[in-house]
Amino acid sequence: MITPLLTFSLILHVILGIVGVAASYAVWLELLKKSPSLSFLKKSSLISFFSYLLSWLSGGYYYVVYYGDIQKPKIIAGAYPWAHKIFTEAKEHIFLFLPFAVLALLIVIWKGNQDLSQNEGLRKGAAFLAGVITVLGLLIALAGIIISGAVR
Amino acid sequence: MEISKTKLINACIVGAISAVIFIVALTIMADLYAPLKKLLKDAHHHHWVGKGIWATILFVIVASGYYFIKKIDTNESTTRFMRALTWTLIFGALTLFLFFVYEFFKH
Repeated sequence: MITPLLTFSLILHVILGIVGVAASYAVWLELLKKSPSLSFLKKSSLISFFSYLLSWLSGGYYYVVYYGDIQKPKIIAGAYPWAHKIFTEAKEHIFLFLPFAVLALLIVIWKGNQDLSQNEGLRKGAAFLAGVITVLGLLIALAGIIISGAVR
Repeated sequence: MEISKTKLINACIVGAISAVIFIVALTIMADLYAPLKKLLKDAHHHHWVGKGIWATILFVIVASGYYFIKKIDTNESTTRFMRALTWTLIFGALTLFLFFVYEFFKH
């Protein structure tokens, strides 16, 4: 049976995931500017890092404690077993990448801040990384919608 | 940029690259070799938790190793490493997705 703590962790996972995607998108757009605002980049990258990290932990708790025993067998026995076997499997493992990648981007922004506005190659490299993090975050969120639909 | 700052940035990026490659390799190996998945599950309650813990340990080891061993570093290497991390994320995600598609249709 689902407990209030599990419900809370699932809601937290979804909300923080959306906040993480929005914040990394903000970092990406700012880095595409020739003279990005360093204070905006610092704040957005910090929000992005903590959102993905906490979404990772709260989603992980829900997944390990509840999803595997209760939801997974339902999906596999239902009409859309591919929702778990392809999308959950890919989502849970690709999600493991994000905190490491976002931490690396956070360090680039916080420690190499001045160079980002002076070194075009560095700024473009960071923008490319932020863009890929955003797209992966978005695809993971879409996979979550597919999985939720398969449970019903 | 100061050398110590550049080293710290590059150390984190290289640590992240190694963590991503490790997650992809461990996920595929554990799926193809059941005793490895069971070992991760037995040791860490769930294989997913085990992968996260070991990837974090590897990240710390590689990043610290890079920071303390590397003597000279440049902004150019930061740009190169960042692009390498980005492509590793793309290929890592594609590899895992295609692997699970293959596994689904194989069984």
